[in-house]
Formats: sequence, structure tokens, C-alpha cells
Amino acid sequence: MNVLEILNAYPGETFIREHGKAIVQHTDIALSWAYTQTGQTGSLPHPFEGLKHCIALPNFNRLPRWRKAAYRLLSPTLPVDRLKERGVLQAIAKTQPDWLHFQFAGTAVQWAWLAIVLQVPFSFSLRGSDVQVAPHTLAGYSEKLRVIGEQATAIHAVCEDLKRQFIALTLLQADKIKVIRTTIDPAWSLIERQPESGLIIAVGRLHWAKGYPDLLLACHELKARGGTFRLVIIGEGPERPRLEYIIRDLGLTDRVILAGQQSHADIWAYFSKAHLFVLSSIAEGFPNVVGEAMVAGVPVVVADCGGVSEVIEDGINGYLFPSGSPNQLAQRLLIALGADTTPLIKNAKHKANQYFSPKVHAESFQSFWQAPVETVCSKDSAKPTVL
Amino acid sequence: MTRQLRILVVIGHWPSKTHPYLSWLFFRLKQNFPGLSLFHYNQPELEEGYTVIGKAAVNQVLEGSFYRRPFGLNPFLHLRAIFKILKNLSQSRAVISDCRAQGLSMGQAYGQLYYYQDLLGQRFDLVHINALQTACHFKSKQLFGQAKVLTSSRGQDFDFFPDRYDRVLQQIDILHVLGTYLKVKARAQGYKGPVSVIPPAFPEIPSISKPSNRGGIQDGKVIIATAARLSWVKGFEYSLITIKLLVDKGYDVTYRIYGDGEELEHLLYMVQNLGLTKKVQFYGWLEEPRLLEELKGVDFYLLLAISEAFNNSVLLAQALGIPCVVSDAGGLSENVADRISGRVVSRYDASAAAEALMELIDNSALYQQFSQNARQRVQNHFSLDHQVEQYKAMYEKVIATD
Repeated sequence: MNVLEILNAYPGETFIREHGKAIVQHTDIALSWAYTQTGQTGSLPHPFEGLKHCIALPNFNRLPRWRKAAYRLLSPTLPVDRLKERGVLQAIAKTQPDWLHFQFAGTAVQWAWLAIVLQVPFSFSLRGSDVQVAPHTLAGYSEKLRVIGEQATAIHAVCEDLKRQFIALTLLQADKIKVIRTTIDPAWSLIERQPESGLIIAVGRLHWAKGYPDLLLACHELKARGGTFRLVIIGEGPERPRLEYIIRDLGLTDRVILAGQQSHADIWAYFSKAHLFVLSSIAEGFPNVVGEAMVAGVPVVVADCGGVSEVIEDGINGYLFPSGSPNQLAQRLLIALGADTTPLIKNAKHKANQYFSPKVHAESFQSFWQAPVETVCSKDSAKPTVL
Repeated sequence: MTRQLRILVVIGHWPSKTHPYLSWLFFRLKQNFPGLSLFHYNQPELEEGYTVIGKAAVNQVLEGSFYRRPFGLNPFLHLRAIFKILKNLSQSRAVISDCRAQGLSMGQAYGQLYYYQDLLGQRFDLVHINALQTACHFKSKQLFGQAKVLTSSRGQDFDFFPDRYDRVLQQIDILHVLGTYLKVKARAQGYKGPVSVIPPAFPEIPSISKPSNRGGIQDGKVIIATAARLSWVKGFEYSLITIKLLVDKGYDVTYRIYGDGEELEHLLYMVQNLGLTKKVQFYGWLEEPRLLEELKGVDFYLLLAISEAFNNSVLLAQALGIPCVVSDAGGLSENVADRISGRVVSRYDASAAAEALMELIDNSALYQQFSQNARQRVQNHFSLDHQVEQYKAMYEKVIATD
């Protein structure tokens, strides 16, 4: 079975690369990737071995003016949409896909026409903001999601919470949507833990969805209560000025470091030293970094948002607090800093091995793609219609 | 007959649709100082300016103003710059010397002379730079010749980039700030020169001065509003949590947000997540005359900013007799008199804001008292006439200083 996955930015997020690696290692699916936002055309270096094709889809809107003019000159009678279509079809011709999978719902909204032209079934992934944020901030987006959901042969969600939200938004039938957990690189378990007392780490883009102001308010309270700690926030993003200001305003310059973007090796080192991992998000699907911390044996203190509570049980394999509640976060941090977390770490590792196994992930995707194909072939169902 | 004072005001936008109070101020100052000119960076936003102070007033202030053209390879402008440099050789050499002393290249030093060629050879008595950020563009005080230099600190200058203005602070003759909060910040930054505190003001607009009947919440429906950029500094997330707390307590609240900006996505998500879609209304940015009309129907003004120098919309709300509930960020506690014209609560604390609002909703007598006090406070402390007198005194004093 040839599956072509459509992604946005090259080489893509870690969780998508881990997904791709699991598919090629544990299934016989011939997986190819095509990127929509590289600004390039042709083949790209493969992010990992085993990928059949890795190509950049030509984006007509991003072409230099002279290329657009040349296209128009060579095909003066074709409208722009047909030019786009022809360029993309030429680019992916060699992949001969039996199935198209869009890694984000937003990508599917923009590119589902490709599956329609190729007359192949397609699916897409619900990962977070496409369901949680965009429908409430972009006019008409909910309706687009509903249409694309109806046209898709199957839909993948990374957690039950997103599945519920998507159904509430689109009123689609639940049996079309399958929850498959993301996969975590088992290499995280090889980290040699040498925790520094009081070192708390948070990893993620500096974006409003991560709720870092709440984390800083919790740190302010923790400091007032006499807690001994140091917080390192790893990641970069548009919220930096806000966070820098709040750190100064709350008098936390001696306790909090915005470490910026870090290399994989440096993040590895932080995971090795961390006493606690904290997630203060207010909008999430399922944050992979929580899984990585669990696999690595770092005790987690996490906000109850998205699919987090489907994995974390408060006091059993981590600490859970209501999202958007700095006071409760401060309480949990205080408890976690003083607790013996050995049994909690053991439970977390056990749960992570169950939930984030690459083999289980890959096999789940294989059946996710293959079962509907058999149904589609047997019924010779109607082709999807253009949006 | 005394000589007409030559004053140059350096300002980013004029007339400014986002800061209409400056339009009134400089119009009135132009009447007091006919020799006042403007140097502005952006094409005037005339249509908005007309709606605020009228076409004749806009043109009167713009008469004889300078406008910095965009930098480009215009050979005429370069020839003109070279001519001006040669004509004012000693001034130009002093500018280049200053720039080189700061580590700038000869090209950058020439850039200063090219950008500001209109200023070479001018004999100003006073240059008033409207914001510290703007002052940073001028790498040498010699560009203004012998003129005294006054710079205003209007906003979050010291909150966000505390070390960015050290050079500018060394070069100015006097610093003007909007409130004591900024004065303290400037002193903490090591500025030892004179500081003049003059807060913003509002003109006597008939629609404002006409008393509206504010007797408290009569029908149980409460309208709360904020008019501000949708920026993180304004603390809208705490305002939304405040509204949520009020709704949870059973109050029939509508929250109107007038403004636009980069926080819109975050706020729309929060509104959805908190279940406030029927309670919160986004109006986008409104021109001042329309905003004024909208605010007349509002019961409370809420601003839980985490960083704020002073805030003019809070003044406008008080001028309309609307009790304000604000945070204690920056100069807001100078703007609203706590328990007199409104309430000042701790920043980041939505619960305190909700309690302050509930107290006023439930107590009509207190509401009425705050409303009257708010209007009185603006008339007594933040009138345009008073502000113009303070500016006049400040200008004359700094020019007279040897």
C-alpha cells in the first residue's frame, strides 16, 4: 500500500518524524512525504531512512514572478487553479498513492482537492489548534472542517478530547474518527537521570497557548511560600517580551530563565537534570513532550487540558491541576518538590510504554488506512466532491 | 516686541488616530506658540485628524511642518543633503564627530545628515521629542544646533527596554513624564536632570461635559467595557476571568471590547473556553467620536493591564462619569483615585476586580458617588486648559534656563 502524507514545513515536527519512522520500521506500508510550504520544488533530503519519496510540492503562489509569468506564457489558456493542479500532480506522479493522509486538518482544508483529482481516499489528523482555536477565530472555518470531515474516508485524532470536540463542532459520526496516540522515541528512556534538586523545566514554544504567564504566577506564589526552585523554560516564540516583562515585574529574575531554542542534545541534558517537568498549557491536543518526560523518568506536573488527563492520573503517574489556575499549580509544584516521586516515575514509565509504543502506533495506523480501503474497494463508494 | 519662539515638535504620526489627545494638545500649543513646527515621520492620517479637531485646525498645525521622506536612492535628495552639509559645515562636522564617538560608521553618520537635512541650519529655541523611542533615532544632539532638548516619556519605555534610553537621557535638557510612576522609573535608571510631570488631558467636548444620569445599575443588566489595543500589556485575559467570575455569581453582564490587535486569537479562544460567547462582544477599533457615543451606554470601565504608563481611555471614561476598575500597573493608580473615582486592584488578580465590580453593582449610592467624583476629578486635574498652561510654563522655563 502506497501512502502519501501531506505535511507543511520541512523537515517537520518531531512527533511527525517519529510517526514516519514507526510506520516504515513496523509496517510494510510504502510511505512518501510531500511538503506544501518549502518554497522549493522537486526531491528533498529524506529526514530518515526508509521513506520512499520526499518531495516539495510547488506552491504557485510562492513562485517568483518570472516563473509565474513563464507558466502563463506556456499555458496562456489555463486558469491559475489548473496550473497549480498540473504542477502538483507532476510532482507527486512518481509516488502513485493509494491513500492520502494530511497531517493537519488545516492542510486537508487547503489540499483535499488533490485527493479528489487523484480519486484516492484520504484521511487527516486532528492534533489541536485546528479544532480548538481556528474554528473560533477564523470565519467559516467550522463549515470547511465539516465538509472536509464528510469527504474524508477516515479521521485520526491524537486523543479522545479532540475527537469529542470535533464531533461537537461538525456533528459527524463518531465511528469515522479513530484515536491513535502519538509515538515517543524509546531512546528517551536511555537518559541517565541525575536530578538537581529544585530544577523545574518547561519545554514548548513561547506562545499564548502554553499558558506561561500562569506558570510564572505560580512561581511567584511558590517563591512567596519559601519554595526552593529554579525554572528553565526551553523554547522560543512571540511571547518572549511578555514573559520577560512578567519575570521582571514579579521579581523572578533570580529564579526563571528563558533558555530559548535548544539543540536536541541540550534538551536531553535538561531532562537528565530536571527535578520536575511542568506543562501549564491552556490549549493542547496531546503534548508529546509530556510523553517524552514520562519515558525519560522525569516527574510531570501538568495542566488538565486536551488529552492530558487521558494519560496522567493525579498522584499516580504525575500531578494534574486545572488549566488556567496558577494557585493550584503552585500547590502541586510545592507537593511534587517535596515528595518521593520514585513510585510515580515507575507508573509513568509503565503507562508511557503502553500508550506511546512505536509498534502499536504503526500497527494502529496500518489498520486505520487499510480497513477503509478494503471497504471502499468492496463498495466502490462514490468519489468525494470538490469543496 | 518679544521675539517669536521657534519650537520644533518631533512626532511619529500627526494627526494621530490612535492618540487623538495629542491633536488637541498641539493645536492649542500652536495657538500659543505660532512659531511651533512639526517634524513627523509618517504621512498625516488626515481623515482621522479631520474627525478629531477639524480640517482647518489640522492644516494650521501642519503649516510649515517637516516630513521625513522615506530613505532611498533619490539623487536630488542626496545633492540637496550635500548642499546643506556644506552650507552648515561646522554643525555637520559636530554631528559626524558625535556619531563617530558612538562607534557609528561614516556611512551611518552621513545617514543622519541625510535623514535630517531639513533640520540643518535651523535656529530652534526648543526641540520637543514626543517619545523616548523617537529620540533614539537622533544619534546627535548637534542636529538641533543650540536648541534645548525636551523629551517625553509616554509609555512603556522603561518597563520593556530599561537600558535602551541611557544615551538619550544623557543628551536631553529636561524629561517630561505623564505621571510619578514614570518619574520614579527614570530616576531608578540614573537620570538626574530636571523632570516635569504633566498628565494627559481631555478638552471640554460638549458631549462629555453634558452630565449623563448615572444612578447605578437599575435593571440588573451590567455593561462593562474596555477600549484598548488588544495587546498582552492590557491584561485582557484577567478581564475575561473577571467577567467569568461575575457570570458564575449570577450577574447579567455584557463585556464590550473596543480595539484590535495581535491578542485577538488568544482572547477569542478564551471567550470560547470560558463559555462567554454570549457575554463578550468585540467591536474592533473605533474612532474617538464613535467610541465616545458607545461609552455613554456603558456602566463600568475595566482595565486590568499588567503594564501601563497612564492610559487615556480611563480618563475619557472618568470624564463621562463611568466608574473605572483598574489594576495597579504603572501609572493607573495615579489616574483613578481608589475608592473615590473608581477602584484600583492588584494586577494579575481577577478575583479582586470581580469583588470591586460586585460591590459597585450592588451599591447604587456608592456607584453614583464614584460617578460624580470621576467626572469632577477629570475636570479638576486633567483639563486641556490646565495641561496647555503646564506645557507653556515648561517650554518657557526650559528655554529661559541658561
